Amino acid sequence: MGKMAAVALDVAVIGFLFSAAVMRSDYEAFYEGDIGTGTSLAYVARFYEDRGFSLEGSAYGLAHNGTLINLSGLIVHAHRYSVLFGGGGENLVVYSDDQKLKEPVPLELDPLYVRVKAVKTPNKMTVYARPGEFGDLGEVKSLGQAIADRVEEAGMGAQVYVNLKLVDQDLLRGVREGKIPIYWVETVVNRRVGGIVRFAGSTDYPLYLSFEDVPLEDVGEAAYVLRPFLGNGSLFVYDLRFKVAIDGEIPLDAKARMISTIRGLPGIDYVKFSTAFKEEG
Amino acid sequence: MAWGKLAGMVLDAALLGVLVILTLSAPSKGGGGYFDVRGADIRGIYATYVGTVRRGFDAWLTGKAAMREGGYLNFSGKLIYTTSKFFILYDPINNRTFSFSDDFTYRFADGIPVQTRIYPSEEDGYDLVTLRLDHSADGPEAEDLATMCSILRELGAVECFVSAESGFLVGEEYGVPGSLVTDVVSEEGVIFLSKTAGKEAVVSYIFSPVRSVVKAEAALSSVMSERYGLINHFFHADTILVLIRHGADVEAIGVVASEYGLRLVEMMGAC
Repeated sequence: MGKMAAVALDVAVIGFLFSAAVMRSDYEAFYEGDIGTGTSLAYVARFYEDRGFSLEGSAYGLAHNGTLINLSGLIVHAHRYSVLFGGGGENLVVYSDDQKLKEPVPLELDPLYVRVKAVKTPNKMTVYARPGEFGDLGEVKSLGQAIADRVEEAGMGAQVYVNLKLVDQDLLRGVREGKIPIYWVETVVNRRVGGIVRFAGSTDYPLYLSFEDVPLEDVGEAAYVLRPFLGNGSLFVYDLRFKVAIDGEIPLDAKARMISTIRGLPGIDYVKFSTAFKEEG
Repeated sequence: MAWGKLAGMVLDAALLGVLVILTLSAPSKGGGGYFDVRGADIRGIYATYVGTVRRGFDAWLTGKAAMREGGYLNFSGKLIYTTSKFFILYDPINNRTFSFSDDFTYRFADGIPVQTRIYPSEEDGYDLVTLRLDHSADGPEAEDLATMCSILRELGAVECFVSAESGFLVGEEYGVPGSLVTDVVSEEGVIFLSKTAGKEAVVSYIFSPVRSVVKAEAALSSVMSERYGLINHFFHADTILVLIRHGADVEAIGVVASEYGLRLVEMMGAC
């Protein structure tokens, strides 16, 4: 009996060590639980983002307009107290209870439960475009759509998020002269699009309008809301970047094809692949 | 060895007993179980509501609350909205909504719950229908929403709740005091956030009854016109939640909504 018990114990210990080794090699960090403040989640997201990880997972709760949100996706970007959680063409801001009032109010999630894991898959593509004049935001959207089409032609699926800074002299002059309600514009645009759209600079002297991680599908909505306030001339757009979250691992031939075809698009400067959408500068 | 076997059997019986008790006491679909929340644990009520609705149940609440005007109220109704700070209940007997919070900081709060029981149920007789503004559409004004909701009541709707933004641009050099906006809007018992800066005032209504929003808008417009030289007024509603009785003609509701630039996107609740 004593010998049998000893053998059984040895088997159990060996089995445990083997399992631990397997789990360790497949180790992915998890963050899970009741979110009392988006600050914690934002901290974790920035921690892993700085180390080249992306956080993917799910979030659910109630949006402030009363609709139930059950979202699977990835954290596109983390701020100090909040994260932009994107999935399926939607981009929600998960706020801390205390900080939500200080940001423009998009379709915000009162976070109840978030479960994310850190992954290091090099399927995050950032496409950098040269500054230039665009007729309207529709042209920006067309460029983003061309990028999405090239990814699809390479056999992959993707979600595209638009980042840019926009200068329209008629818009900015209207704000300075007190004819255009700056907060109203921000509030309504952010109500209808994912990501965050806001004026930068003071309310008396705004410098530009910035789009941060706005889903490509929503650029048309933003254009519709801004239409009455923009002038008839062209828009000067700079710091234009398209963040492309590609589904799954990317085969080398598909990657080569994407780089080649996307760089050939008019106005595109260069393409970069990474494991996370890490902000530069 | 006999003692060892006896000890093992006692342990097994104890474990089995615990499992039986846990199984029988768990709330089940139509089984009559409930969650008991003592005190103003609004976050607990919020978590229970989200967990309940995600699983396709309705959440019916009964309980007792200390009221703002004094005294206590025994309430019973459908939980229709909650955040981690407050919740809103529709009471069919009194045919009105109550708002409860953990203190009276929120001016729209009617009371503070002392004890609450949450009954997940398969069907409580009511559903919530979500109407969303169409893409690239301007959306209805507040008065148009009130007209739409009157029509929807004839189709089985009980109440319409709107999330909307209202903006005022004034000519007054020193702008509009934020406290004035808060005071005027609070009179109507709506849930809102407001921001004033420069010559602008923006009010965001959150899940508020349409008729209350209409009154708040009328009051604000009057004040802005009379005292602050109103230049322009904007109104934008993107989401309307309609509380309907089970069995209401949802398709007809969708048709009416489409005439106001809204589309029916989903129904929340057991069905």
